[in-house]
Amino acid sequence: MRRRNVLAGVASAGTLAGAGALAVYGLPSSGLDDGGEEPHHDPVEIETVEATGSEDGTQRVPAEGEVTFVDLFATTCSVCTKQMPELGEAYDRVGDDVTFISVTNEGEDQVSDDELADWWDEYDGRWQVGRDASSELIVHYGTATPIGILFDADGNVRWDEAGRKTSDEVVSRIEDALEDE
Amino acid sequence: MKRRAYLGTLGAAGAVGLSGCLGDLPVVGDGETALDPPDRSRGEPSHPVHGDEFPTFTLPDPHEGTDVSLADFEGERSYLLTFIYTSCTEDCGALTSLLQLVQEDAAEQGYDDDVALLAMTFDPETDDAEALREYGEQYGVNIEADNWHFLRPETNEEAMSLLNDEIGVPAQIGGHDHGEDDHDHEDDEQGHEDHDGHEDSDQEDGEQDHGDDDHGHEDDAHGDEETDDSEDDGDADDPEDVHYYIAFLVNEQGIVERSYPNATDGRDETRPRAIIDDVRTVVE
Repeated sequence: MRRRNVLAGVASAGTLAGAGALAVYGLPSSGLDDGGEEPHHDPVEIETVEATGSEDGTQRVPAEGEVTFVDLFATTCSVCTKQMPELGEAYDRVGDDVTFISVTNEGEDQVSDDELADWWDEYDGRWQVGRDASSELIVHYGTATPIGILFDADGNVRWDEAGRKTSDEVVSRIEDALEDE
Repeated sequence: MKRRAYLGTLGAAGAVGLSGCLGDLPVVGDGETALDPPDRSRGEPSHPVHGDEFPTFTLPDPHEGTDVSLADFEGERSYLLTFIYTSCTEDCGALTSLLQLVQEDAAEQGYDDDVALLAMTFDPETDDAEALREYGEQYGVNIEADNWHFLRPETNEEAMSLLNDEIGVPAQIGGHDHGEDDHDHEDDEQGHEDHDGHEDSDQEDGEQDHGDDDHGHEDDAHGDEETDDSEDDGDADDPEDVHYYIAFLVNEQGIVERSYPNATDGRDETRPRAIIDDVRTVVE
C-alpha cells in the first residue's frame, strides 16, 4: 500500500472544489497493489456540512481510535434516499458509540451546501454529513451508492458493501466491531 | 456498421490463430494488450473481451455537433466506453460516475489526452443534447473536455441494433424490443433479464447487489439457458428494461484490454481504483 500521501493531497484539495486531490493515488506506476481482500488506505479528511446533526468542519475517516461507519451516498441516488430511514434507526441505536457519517463525493457545483442540507432534512438525516472532495473513498469502494464501510478502531476495513442495507445489518456489524475493540 | 477487417490488426499482432476467425465472431485472444488476460475466464460471452478487436462505429456527439468515430481513436487514444440512459433511476449512474472519476484522474495525472471517455445513450429519443448535458453535470462530468463524448445514435432502433447485434450487449428500453431483429435476440434478452432478476432478487427493490456473486457474470450476456434461472422476482421498477452494466477499456489499437461486466457490483476488479489502474497501465 503506497498511499501515504492521502492527507497531504486532501489538504491541498480543500481549496480546489473537488477537482484536485487526486495526487492521492501515489505514483502512476504503482499498479494494482492488491494487498488483500479489503483495500486499506490512509485516512481521508471529509469536509462536513452544516445540516441537522452536522456541523461545518472536518471529520477524519476512519476516525482515530474509533469504530467508524461511513455511508457513501449521492443525492441523485434513489436507493440512498430509500435507505435513509434504516440508517436513521441504526444511528439511533448505536450512533453514540461510533463515528457515524454520511459522505457524498458530489461537489458544490453539483449540489450546494444548502441543497445538501435540504435533502438531509427531507430524509430525516440527523448525524454528520459531508463531502469527500478527493473522491478517495468512492474510488476505493465503488461507484454504486449507497455503499456502507465499517472501519474498526485500528482503521482497518471490517466490512464494505454496496446496495441497500437494513438497520439490523448495520447495527450488528457495528456491534461486532465494537465487541472486538 | 460493419466490423472492421481483422487482417490489419492480426498482422500487427503476429498472425496467431488466423484460422477460422474471419467470420462474425470476435477474434479471441490475439490482440496485443498491455493488460494480461483477466484472472478468471468467464466463458465465451457474446460481447468482445480481452484481446478482441472492438467493433468500430461512428455516432454523433450532440454537444460538439460532430461525429465521433471509434476508428479515429486508433493510434491516438485509448477509450473507456459504457452505455447509459438518463432516465434510469437505479445505479446506472454509477457507470457515469465511474467515467467521471477516470476523467478526473486523467486530468490530475496528465494523461487526459491519452484516453477518451465515451458514454453512449441507448435511449436517444428521451436523451436529447439538453438531457445529456444536465445528466453529465449531475455527475460532475467535464463535458467540455476534449476527452469526453456522449454518443447519441439517431434512433432507439439504431442504438438497440448496435448494442444487441454489433457489440453483443443485451439492451432494451421501455417494455418493447426496439431491435430490428427480434427473433435472433429475443432469447438472449429474455435470458439476461431473468438472470438479472435472479441476481437482484435478494435485494428488496432489485437494486444492485452483485457483490457476493463474483463468478460467471459474463455469462449473462450469453442468454445461455443453462445459466438462466427461472426465478424472476427481481427488478420491480421496470422489468422490461434491460441494461447490462458493462464498460469496455479499448486500447489505441482498437483491441479490448478489459471488459467490465457488472461493473457496478463492487467486486475488487471493477472498483474505480482498479479500473483507473488499468487505464493508467494501458495509456502508459
